[in-house]
Amino acid sequence: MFKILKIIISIILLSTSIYSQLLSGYKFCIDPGHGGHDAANDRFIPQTGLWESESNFDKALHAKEIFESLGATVILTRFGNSDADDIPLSQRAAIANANNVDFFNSIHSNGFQGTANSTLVLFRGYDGAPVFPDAKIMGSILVQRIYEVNRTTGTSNRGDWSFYPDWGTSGLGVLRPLNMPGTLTEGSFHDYIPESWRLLNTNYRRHEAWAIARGFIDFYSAGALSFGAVAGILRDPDVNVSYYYIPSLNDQKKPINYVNVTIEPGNLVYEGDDLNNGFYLFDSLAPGQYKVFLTAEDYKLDSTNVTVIADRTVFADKFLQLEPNLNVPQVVEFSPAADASGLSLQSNLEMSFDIRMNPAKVQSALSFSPQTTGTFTWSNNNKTFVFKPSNLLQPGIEYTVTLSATAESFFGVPIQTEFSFNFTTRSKLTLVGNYPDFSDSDISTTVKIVLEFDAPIDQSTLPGNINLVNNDNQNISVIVSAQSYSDGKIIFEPRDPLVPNSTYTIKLKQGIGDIENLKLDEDIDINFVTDAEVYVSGNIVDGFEDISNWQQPSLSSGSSNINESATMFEVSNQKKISGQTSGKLSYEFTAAEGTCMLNTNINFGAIPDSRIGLWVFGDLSYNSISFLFSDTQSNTASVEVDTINFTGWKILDVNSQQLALSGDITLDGIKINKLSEGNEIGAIYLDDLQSDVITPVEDSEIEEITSYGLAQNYPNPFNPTTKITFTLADAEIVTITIYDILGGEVDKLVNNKEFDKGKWSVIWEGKNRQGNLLPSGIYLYKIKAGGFSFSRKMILLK
Amino acid sequence: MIKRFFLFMFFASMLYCQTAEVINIQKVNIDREEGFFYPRFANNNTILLTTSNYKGLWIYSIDEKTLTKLNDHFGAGYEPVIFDKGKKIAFRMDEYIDRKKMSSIVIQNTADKTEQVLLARQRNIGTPKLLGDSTLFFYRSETPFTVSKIFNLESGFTPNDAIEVFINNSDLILVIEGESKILNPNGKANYIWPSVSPGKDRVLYTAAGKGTFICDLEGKILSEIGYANYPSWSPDGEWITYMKDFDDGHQVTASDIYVRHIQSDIEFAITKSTSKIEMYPSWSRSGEKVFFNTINGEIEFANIKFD
Repeated sequence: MFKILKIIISIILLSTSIYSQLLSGYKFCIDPGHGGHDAANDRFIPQTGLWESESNFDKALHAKEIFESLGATVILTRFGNSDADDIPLSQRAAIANANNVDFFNSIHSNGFQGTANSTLVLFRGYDGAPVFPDAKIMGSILVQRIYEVNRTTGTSNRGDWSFYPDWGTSGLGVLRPLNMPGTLTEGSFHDYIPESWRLLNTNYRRHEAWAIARGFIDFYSAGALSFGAVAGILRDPDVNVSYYYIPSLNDQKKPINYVNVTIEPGNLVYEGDDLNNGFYLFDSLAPGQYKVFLTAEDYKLDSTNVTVIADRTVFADKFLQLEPNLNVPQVVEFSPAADASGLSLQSNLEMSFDIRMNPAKVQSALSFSPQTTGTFTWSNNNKTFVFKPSNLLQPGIEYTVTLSATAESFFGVPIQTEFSFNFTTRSKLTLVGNYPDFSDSDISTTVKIVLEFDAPIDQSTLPGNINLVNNDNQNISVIVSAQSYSDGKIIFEPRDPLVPNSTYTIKLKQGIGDIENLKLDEDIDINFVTDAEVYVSGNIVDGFEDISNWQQPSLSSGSSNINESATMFEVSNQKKISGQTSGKLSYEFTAAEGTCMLNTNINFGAIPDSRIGLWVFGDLSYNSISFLFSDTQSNTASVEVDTINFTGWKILDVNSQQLALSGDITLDGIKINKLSEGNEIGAIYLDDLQSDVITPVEDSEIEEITSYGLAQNYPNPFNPTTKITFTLADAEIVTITIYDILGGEVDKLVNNKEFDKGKWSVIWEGKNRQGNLLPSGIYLYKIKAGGFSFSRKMILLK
Repeated sequence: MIKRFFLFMFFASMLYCQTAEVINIQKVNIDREEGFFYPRFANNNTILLTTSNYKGLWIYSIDEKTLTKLNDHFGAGYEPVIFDKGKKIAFRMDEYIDRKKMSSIVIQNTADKTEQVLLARQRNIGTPKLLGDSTLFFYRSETPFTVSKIFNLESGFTPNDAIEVFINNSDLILVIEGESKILNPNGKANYIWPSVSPGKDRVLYTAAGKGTFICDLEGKILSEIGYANYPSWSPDGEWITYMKDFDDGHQVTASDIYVRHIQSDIEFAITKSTSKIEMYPSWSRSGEKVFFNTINGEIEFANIKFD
């Protein structure tokens, strides 16, 4: 009893002191070899689904955690396993050099025709003449330590110039440019199938990381770990594997999935995976006597005693005896749901049981009405299967799925009662959403039209069956986004801006079809009216020809829950209001709530009464967009200017008066807030940030303007806003000035702005230049446009 | 109006665009089985050479075709600096004492090869940098690896007029006016190959896996160069040279040398051979030559005409 208590106390003490700082003060570079998923370079094993790049990266993450727990500083050469993380060898070595690390190790696994499984470590130089003698010494230590945990057939510690004689003294590209000792460890062979299955287990990888750490401790004579590990592989003694195995490695018998191992004292539990390795590991145990209890689903509980030795792994492999489960198997989950309708013709059937099943018996017991053939894929220890029909299901048909009572568990127990349910397939292509909506108005003239259907679209059915027409039934030329068909979307936009304040119709005909050969069963017309308002640029402070004024979202204060690699701000020539480019903000949120911030520092100067505007090409994401301002007194204001429930260019503006700021006004940022109903992924374009936006000016009529004019304001009298309309026979620089009855200038409504030929309107809000509302009275407004000058009176009546 | 200004600037930059024409590529005939790597222009048409792992330093006179071995120290060939009109070289010498890496800052006289150890067997010190013609300084990662400081070897104080960049724990660190600050223009990344422009107003660097960039001294990205390894400024700060190297995960399979005019953002290939793998370019002091090594350790240089 006292002995057990002593061990328990030891374990408790270990939890606080287990990771003594044996490697404190050292800095290492750990290089996970390869990167990404290029079949040519990243060593994919199709039989198991293993990517060496993934395994290397996982080992490196474990190594980093272990080394840091031992007090070392670790530099990883890559932070992920995407293709972008597959950095060149020159960069890997440069990272180690730049960080002045003490030692470099590149983690790999090996491959050779699937018939070998040994441990190899390479250092730079010839076998007998290493460039860094310490690298050879480290190699001799590491190869032994790794061999001990991976239990391969043997070890080899070689100089790369000797190992690759054809390469001369070029050697391994990652070791060549190092200015410190380095090694490349090939822990085992990933194409030896039993090892490949083991390399899929993250704890197996962790075990190798521990071996590397033990080797480093040995190399630096830094002492020894005060704890040890217990590991093992559980197998079924009655089932042989179906792939090649090396007899000396005891890989003949099939490893058991979902192992459950408990170690006492400590009551530590290990839950295994279903990746055909049977592996388990307890990696931090105080030295002493332990009892290991081993089992797995449908296997008898077994146990064994082990003595844990500090700084070593003790192995406790076991053959577990099958323990038949003679309960009646039950279907616990299935899809499609019973009586579901409108199902895709490509629907799969998925069914789960509470007991491991006999796949052959289940497959022969399953039937469809109408009859359907297909393939089965089993998982979850043969408790779940997915049936994938060979052909499309028939449209508009009620199917009956029946599992007869002949279906049996792995242990020969039938399900006893027949199991049956129905579902119905879809019969036609259905339009499930559209922007613009039916009879929408105020739609941008550069609208991106989005039609969403209930199935991926067959592109070949579109010609002649979809048109955008104007009010005279003339076709409008459009640009189509073909990559959206697979998402069930038809997305297109007019090649040239539509005419403001005009009616358009999207005409969909019955012939439109999807990849399941179903067709729209009716013609659909979607009418919408374009925005009546046309804008003239004010004082543009950023035309987004470059983005040097803007900080990336990942570096902007206030950003949260964004995928940094997928969220970026860049110059784009795909869309623009003017100039050559706009700014494209692509974003991806990683949570239900999030903020994508674009920090900037753009000073507008003192603009007490000015409309600050920004052109935004919306993405229909239903997220919100806000402008953030501050003044010279460091007062701040945040204004949510819109919900992005539109596509096409739209000017979003805010009156500086709203901000309650004084002095110079600075735009500090633009913020996209993820709303609960908003999309997680989107992209908007920004262009022509400006002050003094010419508040909506209407290009109200498409008519030939042949003369200059200044119309009477409307309404008149007014309180407090009124519209002033003027016509220009040619493009002119225009100034419109407001005077009080004594001739004193109170405001410049338009100040030396260039307007094209046409009819224009501007709004006056009854305020003076300082933004203060003016008293009731008679005021004059005067236009000067080139050589044309004219005045009229108006009455402000409160 | 703003747009017109940008258009003007665009055309102005086009007018300003320069071209680079390779006149010839010359091979430096040096006989050594393992070859030489990372050539650096020294002075009076001499170049500093080292091994692939930066062990040892040699000086080679192109005019006299003479090779002189200066030392055989580990690390000596990694970022050495030449000063005092080429008479002296400063470098970091690494020793492995009880397998622990200890570094010294050494000044070596190129004429008589005598060495002066300025700082002996310390941990975690960076390579020496040059301020002006004669002041050396270096950085040390302190207690543990969190604070970077610059030390003047002579005075022991931080030289306030130094503007330099360093890598410490993968961060890109700028030292200016005696203070150090983390720039990290691309956020979390492994920053490598940093250098301050000759005009001391921009920083050229590579963020591993993200590309090579130029930022200002506030860390704001000014130019995205793209895939460009081992980049360095031309002496006039108008151009950069770099390599584009490719590998199969085990060995380098191809690499060529390029120069790029920064303002016009136009790239010119210096080497285009498919049979050779050219790497690690550096400029001559005049900016008219770019030195590089092949993967087999041959030293070559390109004579370039810039128009």
